[in-house]
Amino acid sequence: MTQCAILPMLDDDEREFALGDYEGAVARWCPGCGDHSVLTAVEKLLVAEQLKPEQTVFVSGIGCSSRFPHYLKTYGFHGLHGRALPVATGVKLHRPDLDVFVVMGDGDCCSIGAAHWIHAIRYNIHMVAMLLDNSIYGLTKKQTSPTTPQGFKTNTQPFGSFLPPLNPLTTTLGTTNVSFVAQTAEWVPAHLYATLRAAYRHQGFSFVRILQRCPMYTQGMYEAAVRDPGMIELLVHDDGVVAPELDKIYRNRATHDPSDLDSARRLAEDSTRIRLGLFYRNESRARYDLLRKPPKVTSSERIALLNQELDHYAV
Amino acid sequence: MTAVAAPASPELRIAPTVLNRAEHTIEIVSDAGEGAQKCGQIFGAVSAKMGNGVWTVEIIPAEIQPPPRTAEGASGNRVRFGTGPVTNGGDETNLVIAFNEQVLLGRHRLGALASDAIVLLENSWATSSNPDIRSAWDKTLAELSTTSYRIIEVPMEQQCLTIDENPRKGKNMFALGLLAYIYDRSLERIDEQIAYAFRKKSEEVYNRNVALMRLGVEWAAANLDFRIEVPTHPPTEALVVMNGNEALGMGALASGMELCAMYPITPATSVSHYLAEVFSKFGGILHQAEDEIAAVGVAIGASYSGKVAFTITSGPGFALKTEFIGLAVITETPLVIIDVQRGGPSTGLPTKVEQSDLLAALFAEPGDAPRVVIAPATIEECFHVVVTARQIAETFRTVVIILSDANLSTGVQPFPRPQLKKEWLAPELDLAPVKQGQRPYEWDARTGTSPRSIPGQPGGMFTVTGLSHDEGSKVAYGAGVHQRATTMRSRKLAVLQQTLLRPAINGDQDGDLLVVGWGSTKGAIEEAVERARAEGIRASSVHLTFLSPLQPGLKEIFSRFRKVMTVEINYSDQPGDPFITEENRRRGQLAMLLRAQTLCDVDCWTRVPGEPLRPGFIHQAIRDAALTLTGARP
Amino acid sequence: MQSDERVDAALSALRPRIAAFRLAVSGAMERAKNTLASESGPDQARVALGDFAARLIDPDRFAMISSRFGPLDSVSLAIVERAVKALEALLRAGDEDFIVDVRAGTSAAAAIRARMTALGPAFAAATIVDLVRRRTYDPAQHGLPLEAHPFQKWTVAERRLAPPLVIRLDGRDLDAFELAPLIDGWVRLVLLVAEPCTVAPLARLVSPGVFVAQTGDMKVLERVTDFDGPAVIAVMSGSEARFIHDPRAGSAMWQRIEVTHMPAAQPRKSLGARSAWQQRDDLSHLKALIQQPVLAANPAEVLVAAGSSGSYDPAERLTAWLLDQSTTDGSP
Repeated sequence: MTQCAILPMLDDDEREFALGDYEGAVARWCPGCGDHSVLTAVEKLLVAEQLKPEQTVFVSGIGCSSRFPHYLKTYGFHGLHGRALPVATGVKLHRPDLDVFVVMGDGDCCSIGAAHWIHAIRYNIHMVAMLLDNSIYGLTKKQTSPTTPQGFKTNTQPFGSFLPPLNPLTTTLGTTNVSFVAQTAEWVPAHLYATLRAAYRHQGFSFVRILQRCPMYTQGMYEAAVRDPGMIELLVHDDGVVAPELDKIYRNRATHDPSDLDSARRLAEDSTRIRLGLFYRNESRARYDLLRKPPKVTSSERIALLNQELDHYAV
Repeated sequence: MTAVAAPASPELRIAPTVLNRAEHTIEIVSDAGEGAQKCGQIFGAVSAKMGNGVWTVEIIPAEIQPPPRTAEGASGNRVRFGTGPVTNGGDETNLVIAFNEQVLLGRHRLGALASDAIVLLENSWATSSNPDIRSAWDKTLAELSTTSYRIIEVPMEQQCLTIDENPRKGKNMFALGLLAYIYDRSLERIDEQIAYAFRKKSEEVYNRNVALMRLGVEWAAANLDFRIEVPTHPPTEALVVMNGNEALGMGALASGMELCAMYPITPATSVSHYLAEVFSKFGGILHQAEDEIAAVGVAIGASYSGKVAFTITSGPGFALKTEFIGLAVITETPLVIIDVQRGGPSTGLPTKVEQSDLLAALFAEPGDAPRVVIAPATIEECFHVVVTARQIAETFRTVVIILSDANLSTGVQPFPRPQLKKEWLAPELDLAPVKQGQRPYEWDARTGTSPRSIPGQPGGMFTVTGLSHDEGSKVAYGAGVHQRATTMRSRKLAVLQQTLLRPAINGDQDGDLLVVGWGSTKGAIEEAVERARAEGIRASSVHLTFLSPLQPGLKEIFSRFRKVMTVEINYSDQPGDPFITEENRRRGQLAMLLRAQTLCDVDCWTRVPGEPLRPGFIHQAIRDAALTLTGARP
Repeated sequence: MQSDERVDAALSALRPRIAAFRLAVSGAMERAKNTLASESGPDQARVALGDFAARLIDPDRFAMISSRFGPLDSVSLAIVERAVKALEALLRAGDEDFIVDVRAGTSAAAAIRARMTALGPAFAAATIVDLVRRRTYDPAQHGLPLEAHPFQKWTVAERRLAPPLVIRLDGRDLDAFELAPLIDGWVRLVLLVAEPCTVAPLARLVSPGVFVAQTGDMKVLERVTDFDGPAVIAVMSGSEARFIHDPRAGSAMWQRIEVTHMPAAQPRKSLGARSAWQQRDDLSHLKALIQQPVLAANPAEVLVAAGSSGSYDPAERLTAWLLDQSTTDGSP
């Protein structure tokens, strides 16, 4: 759409980017917060894929995790609670040349921004959407979120969360035109990185739920799973998230073909174990950003076209 | 008075009486879905093309398909046209074509018709097989017989059935034929206009409509004993004719903006209907978002990453967008918002005009969020305002709100064809590297502005944030930082205000009464002031285009008049109300603003009738105000 | 010389690239003109603000806010005006700018180079205008290449916008080694070859990222419309080899190259600068490129199936497949 026709005398492609080229302000999350691991994995991805910092945009909402863009030296948009996806949609529609990443918390994505979440899945615009899910409102100090486990005590539901938690995976997998759904965990860095890499390379809207611990309010939530890899089942497939270095630690594995939506839904629905891996990928889904790509029009052409329009209304 | 036109054989006919009028107002009313609006639109467009001044207003029921044959269900079009320019919808209707007696009754009860109005009324209901309909007809005609309307019964259905088996679909073209005969409109131009109106339909549809229209002409020629002449002056300059929403859409094209995100809402949506058809040809995207909040969010995302984008909404949608508007203000993301106002609060009067969003446009925001608010007053201004709005938004990295309303959105008026300029278009993106060391908000203390860098520009990487921040976009809660940043955002408005010119005074430069208006009421106010001045009342008017910041010189201008009074289509307590005192009186929105900004005792005359203010009513208000002044005179 | 139909067909297939180049030139010109216009200060502000602002905004005061830089000096103004002239000249020219006729017996590469040098000022002018606009233009450092701006100085972005060229030449003047340095970015060279020609003149240019074809069928040109890389296509009518190397067609060389015709006889005579042995070696090179690894009855199918299912490292896939084969009875 709108791009500078001729770049200045600068051989962009000949630059090489190291980790330091992507590092922004020093992260001020609590020690032990899962956000740190996600940031590390994202930085590793940026280096590995050699994304140009000026061509990369991180959009976030409000919450602990939404400070994310400040800690990177790319373009960033730290906007409103729940509204990261509309902003990212605007960026990508107007500037398809940019690489767009969205960082949301569980309150952001699954509660106040749920409408945008559902529709972003359906638009299937090429971007990576990360749900940093620690099952609690952290920034506002321990309130129940949609993914808080039933019975978990918080400041707003002190006798335990009333309802069973919302399952972001089944919600996503149940939405029309879904094209990429994966789940990973902040405490399995190799899997986290491999998942983000697969998400980045997917042509469409990649939804990645990252299970995460909050050291302040939900420290015990995944403690057992962190200590015992046997509680985790890795979804494996040659076309899935491939992280060979995990083979020896995570022996609990299930083969799942990511093109099989029915199986993906069954696996996502079953809450008896924690599953990490690629649930679904389909690159043949309709992509709104491609469908809506307008032609390039020069200013002379615009004037000529508008004069034709005025002709219709001429007296 | 009722007269039934008797069929006459051509050889027995005497030449019809020709009534000469400088202007006339007609309306066509029907049940919804019978096409009366299309009839009125075509008649208005043809009249404009022939050289009449024209103002067309839609008569819209609130429901899409209200029950048929009800007084509340009247749907149609009202066309005021004259030999000179016509700037507003005027007062009462002189000639009505009604497809049933109930919609006529509805218009009668609203006081829409002049006491000597000519009524052409479909009479098939009189002989309906349904006894309820027959008795309703008799009852209504009895009620109307006490008026001095001249009611002419027309066998529309009977006539139309000779061409189309569904008379509900054909009466509008037959009615168009009646008007064409009465006002001597060019049939060739009508044919052209029918072709354009039905351009998406088949040739057969066109032919049938033309045949129905001609049938109307023939029937009128054979049966009516009058014609009305409203002389035309073929236009000396190239004109275009369109409604305010089409003008806003075209203005957006002329401004070079490339993304509009919206959510359907009456009466704003038709801007997007127009853009949906043509925008992609212009390299643009019309995005229908999942909700009002997402719509403004998408526009902000697009603006942040490149050319200024815009969103279109109406009151309830505007309310939902406020949080995002605050974000655009604090991140200094340029943005254009078009608010086509309707009656409120809440869902209010979705299809009816009101000017009630002024204070919301200025202030609806937690915290201090200065933005620019502009109100076009004519359909021509609806076109041109968008170009200026984009330019201001970009120059000042600010939010610009355009306040249109339901009167402008559906009003149709000819205006000089815009002479397009390349300079109006948003320039192509400049992705050159950002100057070494330049910070994201490098506020120039002389202007409050700062250069904007956009994604793609090497060296300009930073994170915009809705949190309080310093020049480096670094989150900073310190008292000094927040004070300074807030000052800089406010300074932009102050500096913009210093570039504005004083508003022009319509009429004498001093006098007894100054009427102050804004937005779509301009034509009606100026016409009313003119009438009052013709009677010797020393009244003038000023119309404000910039509402935030206000144009300079207001206090000085106000001081030249003994009384200053706003005229607005929003609510104010009326002074005669026994509950109302000088202390508890709530005033019109512009009056409140002007009182606060000028410390002048600005009075107001405002009404919320759900229709445009008639010049006659404003005229009366001016007389009343003048009378109190003369009464008080020593 | 070839008939004009072939030129027309080639130009029409290259239309999108021509349009991209022209859009770049016209974009640069608009920016240059805007730069000149913005120097007129309040006048520019008055026009840009639109008719609506006529009685509302003082353009002089507004211009003080909207212009970030001081006025341009006369030297800079003159330079921008020259850039506009250079761009206008390039825009005015028709399709003939994209057609190169190589005089028999002269170097084709030199002719192509000369044309690129002549079209290059489009890029130079754009850059100069940008520099002037930002008040960072330095004649000593940046020069004024408005008449000649050779290919070797074009940037990465400019090479992607390279104007496509249709070259009419004698077969004997076609030398792949001379052309090699011009293959970069999204360059398009369509060679309309007059016979006689050597049997496989372009075989040596086949490399992983370059679309190379020797063909008698103009339709092949359509295949490069949406190819993001350089392409060299020789259109010929004799008995030379016919092949298409499409970088998108697979990961191994033999998957990407499709040979539809091999000359029956080995060359025995020298032609132009190329000896008979060199020509035979060109053919051997082409044959070597299409050698398939001997794996199983039909490894192509297995690999194509594996490739289409989303693996990103074909080498790994091949290894996996080989290992897999070694443990089974060998029939896929």
